[in-house]
Order: sequence, then structure tokens, then C-alpha cells
Amino acid sequence: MSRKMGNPGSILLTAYTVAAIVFLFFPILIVIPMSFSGERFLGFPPKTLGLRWYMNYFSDANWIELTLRSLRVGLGSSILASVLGTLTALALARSQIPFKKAITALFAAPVVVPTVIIALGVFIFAVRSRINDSELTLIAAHATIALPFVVMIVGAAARQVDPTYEKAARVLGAGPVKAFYYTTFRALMPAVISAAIFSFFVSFDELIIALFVMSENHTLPIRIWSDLRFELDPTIAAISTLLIVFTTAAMIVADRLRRRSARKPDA
Amino acid sequence: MTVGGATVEFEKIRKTYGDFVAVDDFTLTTEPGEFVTLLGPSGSGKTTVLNMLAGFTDATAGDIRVNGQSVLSVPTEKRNVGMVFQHYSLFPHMSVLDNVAFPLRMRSVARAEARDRALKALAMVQLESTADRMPDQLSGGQKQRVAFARGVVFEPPVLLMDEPLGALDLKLREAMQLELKQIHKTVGCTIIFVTHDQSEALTLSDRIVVMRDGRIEQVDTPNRIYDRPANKFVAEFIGQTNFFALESEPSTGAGNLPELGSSIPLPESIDARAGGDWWVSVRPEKILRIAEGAERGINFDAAIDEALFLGNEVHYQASLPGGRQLQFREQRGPDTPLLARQAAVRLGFDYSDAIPVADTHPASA
Ligand SMILES: Nc1ncnc2c1ncn2[C@@H]1O[C@H](COP(=O)(O)OP(=O)(O)OP(=O)(O)O)[C@@H](O)[C@H]1O
Ligand SMILES: [Mg+2]
Repeated sequence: MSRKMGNPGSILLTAYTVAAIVFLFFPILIVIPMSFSGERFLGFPPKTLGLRWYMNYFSDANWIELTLRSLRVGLGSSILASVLGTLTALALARSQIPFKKAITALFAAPVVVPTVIIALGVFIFAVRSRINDSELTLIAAHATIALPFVVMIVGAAARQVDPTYEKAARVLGAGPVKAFYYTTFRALMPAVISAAIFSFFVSFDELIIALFVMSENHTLPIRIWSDLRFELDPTIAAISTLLIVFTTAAMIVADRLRRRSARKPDA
Repeated sequence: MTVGGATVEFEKIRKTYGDFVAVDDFTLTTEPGEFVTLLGPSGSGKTTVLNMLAGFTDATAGDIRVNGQSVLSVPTEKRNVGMVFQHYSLFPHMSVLDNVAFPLRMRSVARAEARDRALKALAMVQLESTADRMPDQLSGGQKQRVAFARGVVFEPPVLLMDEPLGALDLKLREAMQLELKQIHKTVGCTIIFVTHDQSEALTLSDRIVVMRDGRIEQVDTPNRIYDRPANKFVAEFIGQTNFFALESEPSTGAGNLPELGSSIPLPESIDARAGGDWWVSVRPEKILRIAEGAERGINFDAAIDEALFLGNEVHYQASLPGGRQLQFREQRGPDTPLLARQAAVRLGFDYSDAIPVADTHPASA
């Protein structure tokens, strides 16, 4: 910190940083106060305060139904992506398969392909096989786009796990499954949980694929999106606020776990 | 916790990776309770031999038997061998006690009994007090002692150790060598120990197996290995030595040492008479400063280059008139003068201290 704040470059940089933060947090700064409005219409700033929009959300059967559906789909795709992704990451980290680099790159594909394209593909496939409008189809589709994150997060952790531990467990009397469980799996647990949380949210707030696939059985993001197009209902501000709190808390937990698993144990 | 050690027999063990031969023609039988060290430079196949005994790697050919039973088709966890690795391999998320109890729990020993036996094993390495700590709360030496305890707690007849002291500093290593000897005496199991530190091998072992490029160069007791190296490689690898070129004269049965301008009688048994690349190895402590008239078998003049004062001993480097350098050592008492640089000295050694060794190449060994 030998340089003072005085030079034009650093002033510009500071201004830019502040602007960027305001830009990123602007929606949150508007939405949270709005959700506590006591008024009948969406407006900013709220003139009176109250919890009526929260009550409105919890007492609306449809909102709750859609929330439960999104939770189910999120949970399902999170479990599917975590299991498949963990196995993939282990295979890529451990085995001497040919074309390892290419295969690794292939697993990142869903991140690069625009979601609309994936949505279109899933839609055509689902309609042809008559499995559209099904939660299971959406679970599978969401698991696909979450898979790369799991492979990345768990893969990073798997490369840190020294295979000597598993060997040690074997020679000390553990069969292959127990040896894996007591060493590698334990070491990967934080990363797997972190990846599972991440996958859950990839699914939970995903709109585009859900729009294509779920024509009748809507999800929470679909209703938020369609409601916003026609009416300005402060219930959405209340839901958004709940989501922000829920997501932030989960992401903090996930990040802690990810960091813990990325740190090399020296024992 | 005393167990009889096992007899371990390696019979013509071979291991190849593609075209590369990592271990070849490895044949060795241990006595029960023997401390055998595999010693050799990096890449000589020491770890590969241990891995084949532990079951981490399959042998390409040959057989390994423990107490007469072939183990090659037995899975690792059923081989009942203990193992200590170079890099501390304590499970990081288990307490010290759980680590040591692990092999017992895997053998379905009841929790209370496993705990008792684990504590006893920890007591053997003086670490009962750390039972509840996590591995990352231990020092390097402590971790390795816990690993010893974990390796022997289930009383395996064979304990494998792959450079277990390699990650420790010199002082700690020497202390741990003593401790290891104690453990071996208490437990009585057969230990197969790997190191590339020759002094560690000399200190600890009942027998040393010197390896090079996947082959055994010599198997013998430490003092035989030191005093009667089988070839130039072994002589050079174990301890310090001076080599002088040896040219045999088939007619007289004498060996000429052209660098020293003298010759030594060669015993009948020596193949040097048949030609080949031969040398004599003379250990630095066998070369003595000699007084006028007290000549030994071989005598020559030299000039001191360098003196390394070590208290009870001085290590000298000297050169022959032709410029060739050699090392010798001198035990000293309070009145022994230190030789100055450039000082002229007369040195000598006995015939029996000149050990003829061949420079064999691994392929023809
Ligand atoms: N999986 C493998 N594939 C190919 N070559 C291998 C493999 N494992 C070991 N080798 C080779 O076999 C040889 C012997 O290796 P090994 O690990 O047994 O040596 P070492 O004597 O234990 O050496 P160090 O003292 O460095 O531990 C080496 O040349 C090594 O490169
Ligand atoms: Mg090795």
C-alpha cells in the first residue's frame, strides 16, 4: 500500500468496482424492501411495511405445489448428477483410459452449449418418446447440465486424494469397497456435498428447459416468469427474497465444503 | 505382542511393464523373524518387490510364498502383512487411536478389545498420550511411529517398510532407527525394509539385498557386504572406497596395480585371471600412514590435498605423483599431528585389504 489513493488510475478503478457492485446488487436492493411492502401493488419504495405478501405466498396452494415440484426436481437431479458425476470424476482421475483429455473436455460440453439448444433437443426427444411434461424427464435434463459442475468440483478434489491411503487400508485388511469408503470417499465427501448443493440450484432456478418440457406441470421459475409478464405481484418479491436467503446460505455452505476438500491434507 | 516371523520365499520373480523389465530373477528366502533390507539406487525395483508381496502389483513370472504357501492369488487384504509407507499414510479424518485400531476393526475384533490392543501398540512407541489427537496434530516422527504401531498391531508375521524414515531429518532418523530395532525385538516379525540409505541398511539389517536395475547384486550380512563386496557396484554403493585398476598377469598369477606401481598376488579362485574389467577396492580406513622400515604389502608416496578434521578421526584426500586422488582416514589421539596441505606422506595397505572386484554390467550379471 505504498501508493496513495490519489492517482487517477486508482480512482477510476475504485469507481468502476463500486459501480460493478451496485449493478450486481441493485436488483437485490430493490427486491428485498419491496417484499416487505404493505401496499396492494408492486412499487418502490414501499409506503407501508408488512408481511402480507409472504402470507400470500404460503397460503396459495398453487405456489406451494410448484415450489414442492421444483424442490423434488432439484433434489432428484442433484442426486443423479452427484452420483454420476462423482463416478465419472473418479474414473477420470484414477484410471489410465485412452483419450482422457478428450473425454474430460466432452464432460464440460453442457456448459458451453446454449441452454436453449439443450432445451430444444430435450423437447424434441421428450415429445417423440412421449415423456414430456414429466418430472423424471426434467430431472434427467437438469442432471445433464449439472453434471459438468460435479465432475469439475469432485475431480479437483479427487486429484488431491493420495491413492496411498487406499493402498494402506487394503494392506491393513480392508476389502476394495471398505478401503474406498474409509479413505477416498471420506476425503471426497465435502466436495460431493458441495457439488450436490450446486447441482440442486442449477435445477431449482432453471427456466428454459422447464418451459420447453413442462407444458402443464409448471415449476416455480415458470410461474415467476409468467406472472411477471402479466401482472406486478409483490408476492414474487417475497419469493425472490426467500430464494436469495436460501441460496446464499446454501452457497456459503457449499463453498466452505469445496474449499475444505481442495486443501491438501498433510497427514 | 510377540509373533513368530514368517519365512518369505521369492522364487525367480520377474516384473515387466511392456518391454521394460523392472524386476528380474529375484530369488530370496528370509529366515523367520529376520530383518532384511532391500538396498539400491532409485529405480532399482525395491518398491516393486514390496508391492508384489503386498499384492498391489502382479508378478509377471515366478512365485512368492509365505510360510510355504503361495500368496500370488490371495487378495491384498487377506495376505496379512503389515506395511509402513514413506509418506505418512495415517488416515487424516481418523483419530490416532482409530487409525491404530483400523486393522483390528477390519478383522472384526470387538471395539473394546481393539481399543485395548491399539493402546498397547501405541504404548510400544510411547505415544499413548496422543491417542485422541488427529494425525495433523502430530510431528513427522510421531506420525511415523503411529504408522509403525498400526503396521504391527494385528501381529502380522511379515512387516513391509518402504523407506519409512526417508522423510525425516538425519537426527530424528537415527533415533527412529533405534526405536525400530526395539520394535523388531519386541514383535519378532519378519521385516522387509526398503531404503536407499546405505548406512541405514548397515545399521538395521540382519541381511542386505543390494539391487541394481531390477536384479540382485549381492545378498549378505552387513559386514560381509562391506568387507567382501561381490563386485565394483556393491563396493561403491556401500561405504566409501578407493578403486585402483587391476591388470592380471596370467603367467605369474599376480595382479598389477599400474597406478601404484606395484602388484598383488591373486588367489586362484579369482576370475580376474581370465580377464575382464577388474579393480581392487581399498577402504579409506585400510590405507595407513607408515613409518620408515615398517612397509606393508603395498607402499607408495602421496601428497596431502585436503584434511577434514572430525574430532576422533581425520579424513584426508591425497594425490599420487601422477595426480590420481585417493581418500584415507586416520584415527587420532591427543598427540597425533594434523598433516598440512602439500605434506609428503608414505602410505600403505595390506594385500588382504585390497579386494578384487569386477565391474560387471547388469545385463551380464
Ligand atoms: N506402473 C509402472 N509402469 C511402468 N514402469 C514402472 C511402473 N512402476 C514402476 N516402474 C518402473 O520400474 C522401475 C522400478 O521402480 P521401483 O519403484 O520399484 O523403484 P525403487 O527401487 O523403489 O526406486 P525409489 O528408490 O526411487 O523408490 C523404475 O524404473 C520405474 O520407473
Ligand atoms: Mg521406491
